[in-house]
Amino acid sequence: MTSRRVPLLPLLSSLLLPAAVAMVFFYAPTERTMGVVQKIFYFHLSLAAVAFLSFFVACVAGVLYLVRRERRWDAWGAAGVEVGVVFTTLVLVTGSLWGRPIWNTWWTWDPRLTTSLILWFIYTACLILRSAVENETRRATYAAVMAIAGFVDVPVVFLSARLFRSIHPTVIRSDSVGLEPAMIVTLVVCMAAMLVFWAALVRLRYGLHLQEAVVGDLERRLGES
Amino acid sequence: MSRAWFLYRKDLRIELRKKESGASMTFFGALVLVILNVAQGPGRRLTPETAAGVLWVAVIFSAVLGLGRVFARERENGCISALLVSPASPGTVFAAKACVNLTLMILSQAVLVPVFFVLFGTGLTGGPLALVPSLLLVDAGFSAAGTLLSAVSAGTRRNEVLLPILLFPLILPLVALAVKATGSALAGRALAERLPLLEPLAAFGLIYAAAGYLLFPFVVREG
Amino acid sequence: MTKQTFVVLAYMAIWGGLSLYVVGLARRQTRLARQIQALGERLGRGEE
Repeated sequence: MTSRRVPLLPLLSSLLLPAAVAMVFFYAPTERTMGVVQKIFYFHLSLAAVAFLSFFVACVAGVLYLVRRERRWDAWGAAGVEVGVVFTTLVLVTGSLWGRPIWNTWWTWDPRLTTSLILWFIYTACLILRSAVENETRRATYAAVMAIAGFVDVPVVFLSARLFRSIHPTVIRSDSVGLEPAMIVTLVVCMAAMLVFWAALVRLRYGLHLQEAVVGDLERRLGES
Repeated sequence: MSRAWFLYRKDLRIELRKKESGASMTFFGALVLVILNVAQGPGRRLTPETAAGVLWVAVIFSAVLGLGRVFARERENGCISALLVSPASPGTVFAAKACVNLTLMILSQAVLVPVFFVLFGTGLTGGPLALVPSLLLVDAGFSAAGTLLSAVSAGTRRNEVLLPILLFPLILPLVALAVKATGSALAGRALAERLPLLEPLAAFGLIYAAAGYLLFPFVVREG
Repeated sequence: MTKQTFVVLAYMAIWGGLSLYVVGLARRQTRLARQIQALGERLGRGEE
């Protein structure tokens, strides 16, 4: 394992994240119609992208676990689901805080919002499922199945969310904002910073899962001896 | 194929003889309808969309009740291991179970939909037959996803609580579309108008039939 | 509430939430490390 080199990712993200925040407030121009509220957008979008990425990781790890039956794939899956749920929670919170001043409502059934909300429910259910099974291999299998079953739902969720809205009159234009170059640069930096931070978090959570498994092993050996 | 048919007939015969799942599903669904009718207050009419929502709440809640039983029984009797050593492949078992669930849902809806029209029918233009396409499609998707997840939840300590928690988030898009489709059916619109809503329902059914067929073997082997 | 309030709230939510999560993970890690050490010692003593 390469866990000796771990500090690289946390160090990099501790440099990049403050830089990204500074860029959002001092480099990126203030948007004309939305004003200062638009500054939420940079991290909102980065969080959303990274959250989706972690669910994807969980799905891939689930497939690999079912094929290979190795503990580390379960650990990656657990890390992906948990970090993804944390990030999606933040996406929903920041989305709400953005929507309130701009759209004058805390919540709207916009396709993207709906998709994030449903994904949040699916993967939180996945966390609950994990806590409900004692046996390790059984827990890993069930969690893998649930992660895969949740991810294949995504196309249907997105399609249905769009159909669900499209019949209602669209009061709200979604964020089809023409971005200035300086905004795009800021966005890219934010995304990169968030990606590095996310990788560090997932790695940390992965290590934790392996430690938990080691504790389980030791306890079992103690029980035998 | 003939093995799936055999398993299907066996399970269905047990269900119908014991009248356990089917009867309690229907009873509970009717109960939900009555509660919602009481909550609505006397002499008030619902718009087609709200009425569709009422119907789907009753259908979903009653269906999840029956779903849990089909697997819990196999596990209580230790039949899962017997099924695993039998010549039927786990995928076949999945297909048979899903079809049993589908049949039970259709049977209970054959009662629930008339009850719904008795309680909420005044002022609705569309009749029960207009609901059939969306009901059947949702039933198919629901029983495919539900059979897979009921196998999962049957292996946990909190079976009855866990099944709806796992299943409802997955079928949320299904219900959203079904409510829309049913609402327009109840408003008396033509089937062609609802087709774009019905297609994703069919896609959901196909996706979960495939996912269930592939994933189910892993789940039952853990039993 | 002014627009600035929402921005401040959102950034507080993001960084507050993330740092809470990181702190939680770090605490879990130290607890697990301690647990592993204790269990290892008990195992070692048992084998002697």
